[in-house]
Amino acid sequence: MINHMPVRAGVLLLLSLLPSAAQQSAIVNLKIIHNGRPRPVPDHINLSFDDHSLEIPVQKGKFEVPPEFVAAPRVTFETDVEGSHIRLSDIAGADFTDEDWTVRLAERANDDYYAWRGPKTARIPSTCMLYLESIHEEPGRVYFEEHCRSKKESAGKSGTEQQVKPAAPKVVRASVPFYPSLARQTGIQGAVTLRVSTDGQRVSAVDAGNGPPLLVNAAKENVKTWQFEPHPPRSFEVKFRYRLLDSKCDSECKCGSEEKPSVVLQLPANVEVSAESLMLCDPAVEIRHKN
Amino acid sequence: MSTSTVSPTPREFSSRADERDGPGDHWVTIDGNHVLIHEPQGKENQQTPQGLAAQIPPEVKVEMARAIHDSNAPTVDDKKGGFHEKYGVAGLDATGKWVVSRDKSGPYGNPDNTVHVSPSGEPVDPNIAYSIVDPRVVFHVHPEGITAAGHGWVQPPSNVDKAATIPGQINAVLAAGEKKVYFYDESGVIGKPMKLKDFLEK
Repeated sequence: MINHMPVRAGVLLLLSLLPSAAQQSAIVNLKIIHNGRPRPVPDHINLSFDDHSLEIPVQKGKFEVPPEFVAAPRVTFETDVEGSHIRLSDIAGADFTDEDWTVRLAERANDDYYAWRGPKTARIPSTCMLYLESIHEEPGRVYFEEHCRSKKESAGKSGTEQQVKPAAPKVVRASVPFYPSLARQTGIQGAVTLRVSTDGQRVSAVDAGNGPPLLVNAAKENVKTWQFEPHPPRSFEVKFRYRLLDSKCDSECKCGSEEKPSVVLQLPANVEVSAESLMLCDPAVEIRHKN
Repeated sequence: MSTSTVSPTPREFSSRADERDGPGDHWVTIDGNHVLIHEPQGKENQQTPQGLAAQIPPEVKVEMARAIHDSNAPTVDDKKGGFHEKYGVAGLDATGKWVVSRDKSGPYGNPDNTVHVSPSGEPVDPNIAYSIVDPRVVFHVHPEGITAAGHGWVQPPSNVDKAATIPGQINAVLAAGEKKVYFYDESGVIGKPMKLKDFLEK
């Protein structure tokens, strides 16, 4: 899992990481979509890597990624939007290009549901690992649609490198995987390995390797939503890891865990899903009928 | 634990995570889970306790009744019995046979000084729990114990029970004290509770 690094706003301790002359900054257009409508962008975002962090102002919907961050192998993007803390980790610095980033938020509809009213899928670049997390209960979970196509990737790898090791098919669209409710209630967790075959753009077959059936089914359903950039048909292995977080109920039967649920996508090879145990909690009452 | 061979019955609704929306489909994110729920048009209100009970084979009902019995039996911490919950899941395994997975006994709760009671959340045999490919019925027992001060445990499905409804499954609370079976979903109790005797006979 990804470490939770504290973000120290405004810290500029990057003297030892001065950019090379060749490295350039990137201008990113940030868009926030909430309930299907554009919302005001935050006035700043935070970027961090290793133990360095930087608060970057957002002006007219744009923020500038300094060269040292573009050069960093792993960058974490964080911001607060409408009560939800958004955290996107393990971005290759080079993926900050002059492209649009769109962050989409789910909205809590009532006490029982988080109704999702936005698009049902996220475009997920295979070059990035996404870490989805909402620290606050309100207004609900966050959902990302973003584009972080790498300049390096756009430029293309050397032909020799591609011949030696064919690149895994690039996932361009996928649903966010979920942890089956029954598995959350019955304490089922573990790893699922699937063998996925593609027809060059979509999944043509999924063979279950191993794992609890409830989780295998959920993983298969998710994999079937994957779409790829056009590529020669091939088969590859993908591993899903499902982990339950310890949950407890307080005196009012409000149940939850200290650790926040998360979904980590490192497509097309690895998916990690953690969720709170789905607890049952039945209160004591005064029995009025006679014994 | 029991197994029996029974033909699968159609499900009232199902959940899936693809993009094929249709009439009655809606997407929800429940506790962070992004789920497409399919509700057959015009069927969702046709569920009755009797209809749901009829979908549960006798062998499974026997296991459910046994769960009530076990809730009333002593455990390591519930010396007299009647003050702990039991939980189970019934469904089909890969061969199409019905399988019932029961959880270990929930912890003892004295309603005079304990505010709530819960199942253990730990299967007796994880291999059996993991063998269920197509779950159909989720049930747990609300204990029947009453203290001298007149305190006991809620018998109908609690608000948390309803919130924790498993979509696509038959969710049932076995009210040991009332000797009734409540079927419920996230919106509440379905119909009137069935007498346990009637449930077992159906």
